[in-house]
Amino acid sequence: MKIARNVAMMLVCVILGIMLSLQYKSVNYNQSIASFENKRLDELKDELITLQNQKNSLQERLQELEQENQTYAKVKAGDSEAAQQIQNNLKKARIFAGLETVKGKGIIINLDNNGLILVQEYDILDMVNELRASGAQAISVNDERIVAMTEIRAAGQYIVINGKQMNAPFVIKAIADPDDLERSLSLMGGVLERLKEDMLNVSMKKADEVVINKFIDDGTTIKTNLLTPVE
Amino acid sequence: MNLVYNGFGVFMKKHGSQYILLIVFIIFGVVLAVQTKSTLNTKKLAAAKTYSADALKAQLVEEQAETDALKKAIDENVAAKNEIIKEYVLQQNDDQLAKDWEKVMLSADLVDVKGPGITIKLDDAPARQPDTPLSWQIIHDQDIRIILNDLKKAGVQAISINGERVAPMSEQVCAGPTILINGNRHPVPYIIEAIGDPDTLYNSIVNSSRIAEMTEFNIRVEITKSKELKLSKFSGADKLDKYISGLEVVEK
Repeated sequence: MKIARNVAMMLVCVILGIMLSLQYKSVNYNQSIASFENKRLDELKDELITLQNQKNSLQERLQELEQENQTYAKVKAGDSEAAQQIQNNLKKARIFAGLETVKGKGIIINLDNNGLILVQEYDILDMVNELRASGAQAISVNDERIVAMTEIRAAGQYIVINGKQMNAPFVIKAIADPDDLERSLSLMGGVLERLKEDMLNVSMKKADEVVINKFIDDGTTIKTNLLTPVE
Repeated sequence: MNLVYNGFGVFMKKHGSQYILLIVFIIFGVVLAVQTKSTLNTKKLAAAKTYSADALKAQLVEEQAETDALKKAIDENVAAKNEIIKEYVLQQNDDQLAKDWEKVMLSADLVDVKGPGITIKLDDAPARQPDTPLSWQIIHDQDIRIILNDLKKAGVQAISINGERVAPMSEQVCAGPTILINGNRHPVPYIIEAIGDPDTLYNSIVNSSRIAEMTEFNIRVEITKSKELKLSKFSGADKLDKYISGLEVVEK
């Protein structure tokens, strides 16, 4: 009788122990699910906000385009003002492609050999890239306009840009906000510091008016014979 | 002897083990109550969360549909615009203007183009090699610039990197683990598509000293020639004013 009761007690205690551990686990699990759901909810909200922002900017763009097209539609009716706008568009594309001589506020950089230390093609390449990254809208090196497919090549003691041989000193002109350009070029560890560390002679000055020549198309740098426009 | 009420209207004699049982059942009761509460709570919470998560998802789908519709409308409008411009150019009966228009749009990277060329796929070294500095095993912005310059030396006519068309003022700048191109971030792998004479471009890249250095440190480089590549226009083509705002034309 006593043994039977003890056994029963033991069983009850074992079951209780198991239940306790299960309970502990279950409550923990429930809590972790709750926090996971919270996180998921936050992610969804973020996604929604990004999408809404994107939608708003698209809406603005669409309105602009519709307005533009309304003006353009008048071209068919013989409106010369609208035709003028198309010519303007062509002009803008020409400016962007570097086919027009332009002027504006900017910066002029002088880069020269220092005795036996010569300016390398990479020095000019990095400088041009840094100017582009700092928001330059037009760049020229020794009056050769830098366009999309402009190569910078070392050929013996020369540097060849747009197929034209040139020698140091290099005068690099760029049009953009001069303060922005100055700040990003003279950044610690920036391109100016690196060129100075390489012992090259480099100087920079801001200018209220920089004139940058148009790209002179001799048919070597800008070739389009293999390009087919896709509608 | 203690008398204990057994719950059924009868007083029983109480043994020592019955105290234990009493405690066991009290704990059992508490466990049961906590468990029930926790489960109910979770169910209630989950129901509320599911409701708002579902609502959010529905809203997301809706917004996505509206965004897609807007994109489509923009594409249609751009097409309509190009159509009008083309018509105008044709109307002028001016061959020079028509030729000029196409050449300008092509060289300014403002239209989608197709043509023969090569594709270069670059990816960081697959596994870290303990005896080589880590920075030699990953791709840097300067690598991309030098490869682009090599392509330009070989007479490339149009380039895009990860779908980002290289336009006159396109930069390639390191931005943490990504590279910034046309103001957009791009992580590895880099897929450079270049339209030009496939053989010339291929040879220029195979013989490029920078590519040789990169493969030396196990950076993965794959070059393939293609009969036809399709490159999208410059990503800022619709907002050109932003890129020429500081330029004033000088007439000569």
